[in-house]
Amino acid sequence: MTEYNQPDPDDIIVEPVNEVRAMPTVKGWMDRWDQEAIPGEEGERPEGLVQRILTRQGRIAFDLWEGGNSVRYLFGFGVILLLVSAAYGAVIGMAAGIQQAGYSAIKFPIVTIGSLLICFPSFYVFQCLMGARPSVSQALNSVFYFASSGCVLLMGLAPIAWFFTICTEKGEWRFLSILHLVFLCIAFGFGVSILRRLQAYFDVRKEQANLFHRETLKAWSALFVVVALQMGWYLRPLIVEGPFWSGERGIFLEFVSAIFSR
Amino acid sequence: MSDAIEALSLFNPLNPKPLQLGIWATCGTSLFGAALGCYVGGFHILITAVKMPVFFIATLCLTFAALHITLLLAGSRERWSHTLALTTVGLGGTGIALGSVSPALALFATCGHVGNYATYLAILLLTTTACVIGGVMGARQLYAALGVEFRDRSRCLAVLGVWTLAYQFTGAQVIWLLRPWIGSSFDIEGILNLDHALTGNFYVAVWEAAVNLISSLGGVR
Repeated sequence: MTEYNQPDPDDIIVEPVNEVRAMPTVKGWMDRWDQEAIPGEEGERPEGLVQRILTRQGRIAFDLWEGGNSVRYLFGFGVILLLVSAAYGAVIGMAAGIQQAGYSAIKFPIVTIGSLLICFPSFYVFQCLMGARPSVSQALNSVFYFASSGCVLLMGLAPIAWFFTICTEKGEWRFLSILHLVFLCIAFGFGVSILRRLQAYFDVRKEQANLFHRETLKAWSALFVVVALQMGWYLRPLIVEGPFWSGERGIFLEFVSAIFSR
Repeated sequence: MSDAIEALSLFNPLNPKPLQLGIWATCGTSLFGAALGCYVGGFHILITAVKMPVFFIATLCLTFAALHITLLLAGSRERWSHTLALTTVGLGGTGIALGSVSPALALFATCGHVGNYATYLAILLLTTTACVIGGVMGARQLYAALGVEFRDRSRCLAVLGVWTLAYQFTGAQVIWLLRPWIGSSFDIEGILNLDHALTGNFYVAVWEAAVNLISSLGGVR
């Protein structure tokens, strides 16, 4: 102890926030991420961010940790999120015609980016309160990485969703709603797996980095789902014909009862 | 016959030949479609022979993005042309298997009474069984090719599972749109034999059929 009864910094022991569990697949994908973190050879053509999200996740993890190119990453993630959300929104709205496709192309990015921005403060605060120590830049890039990686997966599912949208009759909005929800769940699940891998990777490779708290990630994921569903419901209609915005208030659970009612 | 055996030897997972496999798959599926069309006969044989490969190709086009992304996420670093080569391995196996059972199907289709419901159900059952067998054959070839790619059984199974699910889910809808397959369309105008004008949803139709069935059972009680 020092003269003023303050704890000596050398005496402070940083407790790890996550207990490192033995993961049967830890060797496989972590080794691959280690390889991907190695910069490319000189003269090698730089890959796009979409390609990097699909094939060099280790590189993104490395840059996230080092803080390199954080603004460029944030910009890139934002562009991917905006463009893919707009395209998928158009696919959703196509069920009710061209006009609704245009409306949904504007509204769906608001749902995704808006939900992300609404949930970001809770992400950062909850992590810090549970003992994790991400920087604001790391936290922001992580949540945008989560959302944009889900969007990249959505790009692959968009042709299937478009096909079902154009050949399903207009009255069958229930089937299309469930289809889009399933696809969004798949994309969301992939995004969550990216966040969890980031946490596990940093805990193992960076020796208890304390970047994220595992259980807080789970709770925040649930919060994000609820916020996104509510935002989507509030900005309705997305899939059926109607005005740009109905303005009606309500809770997204009304959607569940609408699905099952005649 | 030697060409068919040579086609089977094309399934060398170390060196798949996409173009040849694609040609054999197209021929095999066309033969299968033609056999199916023998039930009604006449121009319907040609129409179904064209629709069957169109079904496979259209489903592949719709699901290709998802298949390629799945392969990349599983750890592949190859280009889309490699994904296309792998898909032709799977579809080639299916197509050749379907082509090989087409003579048997043509026999049943030719001998059965047109318009007889029992004959229709028998042909439907035969067709479904043949498609299942063809699918399993194609999946085996694809699994072997993925094994060369990844050398990790769990990852091969995961990719195979996702590809099969995506392809079957979309393919069911495509095949629904391109109906009729076994029935006749001579009363319908238009050369494309698409009496439902490319509309409808397979899963909604199955759901409604199930609901109607349960409702009718309730009415019988």
